[in-house]
Amino acid sequence: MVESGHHIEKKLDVQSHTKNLSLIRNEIEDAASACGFDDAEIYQMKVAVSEAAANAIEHGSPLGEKNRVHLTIECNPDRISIEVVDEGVFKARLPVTDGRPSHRGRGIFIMTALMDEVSITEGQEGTSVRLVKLKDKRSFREREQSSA
Amino acid sequence: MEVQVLPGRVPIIDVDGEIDHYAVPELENKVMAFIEEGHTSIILDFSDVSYIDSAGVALIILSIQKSGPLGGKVGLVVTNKNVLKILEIVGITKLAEAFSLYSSVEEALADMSEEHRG
Repeated sequence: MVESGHHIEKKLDVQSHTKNLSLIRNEIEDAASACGFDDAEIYQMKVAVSEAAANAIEHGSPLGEKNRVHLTIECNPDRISIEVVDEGVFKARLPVTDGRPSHRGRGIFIMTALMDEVSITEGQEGTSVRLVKLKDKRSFREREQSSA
Repeated sequence: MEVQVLPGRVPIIDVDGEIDHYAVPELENKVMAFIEEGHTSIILDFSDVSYIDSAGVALIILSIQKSGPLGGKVGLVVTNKNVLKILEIVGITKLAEAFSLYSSVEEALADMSEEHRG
């Protein structure tokens, strides 16, 4: 954990396996709680991050369990930002459903419904999903309006 | 996962803990096999489920898709408000065909047993 002023950052690398999703959720719970979020917000973040990590494991890990999922959690006074990065190769990660309903689209939908910002960056060395939750949306909106 | 089958009653599949991408594959095999055995209507008791994600949502939808065409129905019992919120977001709570949402096993049994007999 790196702490400098208002900014707290934590990095986590885990083996690419769905058994580690609960470990990731526990880390998010601890970090979001320390960052000052309430129980409902923490639950929403756990679901969103777990979806991003599940995508990384199931679609962004060409070597399976040999790949790793990289998480960076940043707590700022007004928000928490969580970045989930996989090691997938862009062309290898076209959606494959083998005839079953794909969780993937639903997972992305859940992420966007639960977080304030979701950005997905596809790179040659992997996909990065950045999830942001604002701490106090009302005062944030008021600040934005007053500065506009 | 615990399954309760009593004669003349809709079988109850009791699931607890976290229904995520790790837990779902095994759970899905068991539930699908159970429906295929001829238990077309089932009650999925998620009263003790603390967490659900898109894989768990897919499990519910697959169960409905499996039991519906066989003339059955899936009754889902949810009490955790966080779990309920996820189901609302993805629209499962609005499904009306071959599916009903209940807040207790007793409510599910009373409602579905009537249809089961008739």
